[in-house]
Amino acid sequence: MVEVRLFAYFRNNRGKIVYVDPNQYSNVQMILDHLGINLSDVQILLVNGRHTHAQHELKENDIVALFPPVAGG
Amino acid sequence: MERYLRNKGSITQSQQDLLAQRHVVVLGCGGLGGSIAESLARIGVGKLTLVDDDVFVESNLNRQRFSTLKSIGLSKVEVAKEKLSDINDQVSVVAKKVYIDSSNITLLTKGCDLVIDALDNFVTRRIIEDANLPVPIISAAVAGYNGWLTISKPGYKNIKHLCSYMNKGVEQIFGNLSFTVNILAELEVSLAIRTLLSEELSFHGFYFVDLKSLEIEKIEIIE
Repeated sequence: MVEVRLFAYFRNNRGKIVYVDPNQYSNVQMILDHLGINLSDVQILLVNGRHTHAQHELKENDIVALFPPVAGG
Repeated sequence: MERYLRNKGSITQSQQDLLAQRHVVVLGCGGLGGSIAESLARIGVGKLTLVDDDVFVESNLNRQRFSTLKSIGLSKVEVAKEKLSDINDQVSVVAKKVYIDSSNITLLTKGCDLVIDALDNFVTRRIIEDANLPVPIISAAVAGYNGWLTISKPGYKNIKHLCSYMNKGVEQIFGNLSFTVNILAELEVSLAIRTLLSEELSFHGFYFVDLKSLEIEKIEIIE
């Protein structure tokens, strides 16, 4: 399975961690579509700690992390 | 000194003396910056330079440390300087009512030991990092119940990871809550004091704070 770690309001109604089957959701964009998150709302997209893009192909045991932009003071 | 009696145990006398010789520049004197300035003054950092070109407005009252009904319309840094002199007259405070940009960031921070980013937008945060300052930068931002915090020694570029090409983030939707702002401000202060006392804390990545689940998660980024 792929572990998808959600942060900030992405957790609302989705929880902190979602597990998906990489055979069913083969790239990050498919996960975003599955979760109903717009790519344009994602500021930081990491796979296994590295910045990547939505077309990144996923494999078993990958860890995806998604953060929205936060700038306030 | 009686003033620092309750610092003892965690801060030795020699460390207290060291803090008195340190100079911190706080960029932004709003929600984050006001609280940071007050804590740094109370703990005994010897010199503070506060930079912000803004004046207090009514919408600051929900969270900004030095905002009061009487201070609306007044310069944030000038008000902060006056309040800090009431708190600790051993601290030298310089107030600079200046808009921060790429032409003045190097001069504004010249000679300091540490820069604290307490800004409210991505554009200026990027300017600070792109200036390649010779001192560590501690940075934080908030939105609703969340915030991030990072520390970058010279040569590290952590802020770029967190900045979108827009100027603002989801705080435009979720707002800036007093407790989130103050917790992130004090986390910046805690990193600041340890850095001023020569602890090496930089890493590639950031801390993400979630006050709904009461979690601080360390996110390491592989460059």
